[in-house]
Amino acid sequence: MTAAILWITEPIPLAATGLLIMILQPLLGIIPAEEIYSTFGNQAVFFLIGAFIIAAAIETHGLHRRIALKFLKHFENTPRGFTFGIMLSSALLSFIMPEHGVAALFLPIITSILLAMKIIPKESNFGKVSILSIAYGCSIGSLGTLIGGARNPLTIGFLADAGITVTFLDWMIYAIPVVFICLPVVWLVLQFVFPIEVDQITQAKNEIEQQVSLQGKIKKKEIIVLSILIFTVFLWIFFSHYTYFGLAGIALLGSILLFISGSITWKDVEKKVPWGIIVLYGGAITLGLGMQQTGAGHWIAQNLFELMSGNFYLIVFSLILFTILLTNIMSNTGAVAVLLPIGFALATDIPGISPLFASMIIALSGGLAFVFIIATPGNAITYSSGYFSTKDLFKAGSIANLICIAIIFVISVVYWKGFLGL
Amino acid sequence: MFKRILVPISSEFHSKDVIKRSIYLAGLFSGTVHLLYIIEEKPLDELDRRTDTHLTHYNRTETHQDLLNQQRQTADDLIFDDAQHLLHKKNINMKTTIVQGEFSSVVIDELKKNQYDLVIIGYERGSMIDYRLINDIDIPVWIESGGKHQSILAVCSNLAPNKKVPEISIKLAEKLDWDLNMIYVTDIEDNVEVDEHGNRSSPKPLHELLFSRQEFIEHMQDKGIFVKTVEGSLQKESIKAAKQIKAGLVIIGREQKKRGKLGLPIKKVKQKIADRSKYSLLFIN
Repeated sequence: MTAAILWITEPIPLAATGLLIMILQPLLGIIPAEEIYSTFGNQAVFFLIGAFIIAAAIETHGLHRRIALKFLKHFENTPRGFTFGIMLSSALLSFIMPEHGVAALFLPIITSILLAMKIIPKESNFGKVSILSIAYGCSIGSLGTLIGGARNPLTIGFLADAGITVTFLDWMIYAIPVVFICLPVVWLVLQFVFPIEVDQITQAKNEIEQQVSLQGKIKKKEIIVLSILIFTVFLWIFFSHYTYFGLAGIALLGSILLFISGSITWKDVEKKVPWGIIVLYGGAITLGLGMQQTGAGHWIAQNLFELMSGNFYLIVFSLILFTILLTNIMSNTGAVAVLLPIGFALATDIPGISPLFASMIIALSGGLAFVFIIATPGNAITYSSGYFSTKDLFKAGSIANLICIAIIFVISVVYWKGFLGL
Repeated sequence: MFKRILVPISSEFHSKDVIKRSIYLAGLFSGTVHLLYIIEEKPLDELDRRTDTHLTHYNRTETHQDLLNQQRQTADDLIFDDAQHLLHKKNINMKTTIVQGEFSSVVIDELKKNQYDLVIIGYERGSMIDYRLINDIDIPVWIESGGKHQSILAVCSNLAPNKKVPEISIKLAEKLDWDLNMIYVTDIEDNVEVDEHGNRSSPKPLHELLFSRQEFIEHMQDKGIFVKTVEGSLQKESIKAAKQIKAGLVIIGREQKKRGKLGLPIKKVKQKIADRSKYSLLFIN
């Protein structure tokens, strides 16, 4: 409860709350200190570190910018198509980089295009849709692979502790359908809520051309980083299930190859790897552990079970709804950390709900924070551009979230449960 | 009357109507306009706070810089450019400046450095902008809402000196060629009188307040102005009257209201009026 309140109100930085959770639990006699700190030895932590180093190399050489502009060039024909291109591009980049980094990358590219088109902040629906497409594209895309958000490896770390293995490819099989259904639907919501008033985007084309020409030809280091990235993703997809290899091993291998090839230095790592997330992650995983071991998760699950009269569909729906509500008012990672033990506890009490099923519901719903600026850094970053107001975000985000609740419900019941047998 | 006009524009909210009005008034009074674009620091600080775990200091600095560049470009390429187009063929001097800071603090500093006769601003309810300048500065503040009506509502009351409001409203009505309506609100929530120096008296009984009101009405009648009388809360009655006459501009004086419902303390009355009003307001400070 303390963690949830601190993560919602943020009187201290999120990472500091993570540290606080780690010391409070041993001090209060909940979990021994040794067990708390050993959670940092979790494979998922090192997977995160490796993934961040790879993302840092991508950023250092501007490869992310090149990829983003390349994607956008395919959507230069119509204003509506262009906004879809923004959303799709941000989502696809969030497959290989943390979502907040993608938001920070796309923002100056799109704002320079909007400025070239003389789009006035807050006055233009095209401006609102373009910038909101970044925020929502990043959030949705971050569900697709384990790299997009820290809550994803947190989930598989939790599952691994329970003896359930989810590989990189498994995650994609579960999550990609959610991404590719939510993307066009949320895009349509934006078109409906903010009908675009612009009818041509010639200046956008010119601006993209200009930015592409500024990038110049692809450089040797970019090719090396791209090759290492492709190699690493290949290994993740096809070899992460091997006991002596694993997600973390592959991530660290990719990082080491970057150092060996001279594509990254430790200075770059210091500049670009957000260590705060590692600490936040540590706090989140120990919180989950604490909730599980003390039975707090089980107690909440019992109450929910009784409230929903043990009905499978009602419980699934409530889990999705509650996760989305919580993730909109606090850190995604924190929300998922608080809810995973409840999901696990539900799985022991309700036939038809496995720990994996419950975890995927929570992990994916936990990434869909569309309503408030505080919900996710992507929302905060894009809001600061001034192209949309908090009311705009609330309006579009509420509708998008309601529809996504329905999408995840249908996918969980029909695809995960019905087809994959989770 | 309004020769030197300051138009502060916040990066959080910008209204074309504000610039149009300032250019119109500058034309009318043969004045000058200074467009002061303020890049608000609060949203940037808030962004830092929200992303300090997820982005490194280096990334945050880069993002910060990108946003500052974007704001400067917005000011230059959109807002100032637009204003130049509106100035086309008009013989009006316009100066433009871009500053980083907090809206009200920047305006107050600017007023200390240079002399102005009027500040014209837009107003966005519920925004991050701190509008404390409405209460804190000594020169008139015009809040432009972009309305089309052409009538003035001058609000006098027991809570203001009632010297400048009649004077300015008469001059403005003549200059703009708008109808002038005047009301006198006897504020029963705060039953004091304010003298010409802005000093509040001790609480007075209603009949004394009504007597002072009658003196004022007779004084205005001598100038040929009919004054409607109302008893109630200054804020509510002003807005109600503005709605009734479909005011284009509501002029309110240096009100010194300190007590609200049930005699409880009340602050920032002007801002409360601005929050609830859909009309342009001119606060004669």
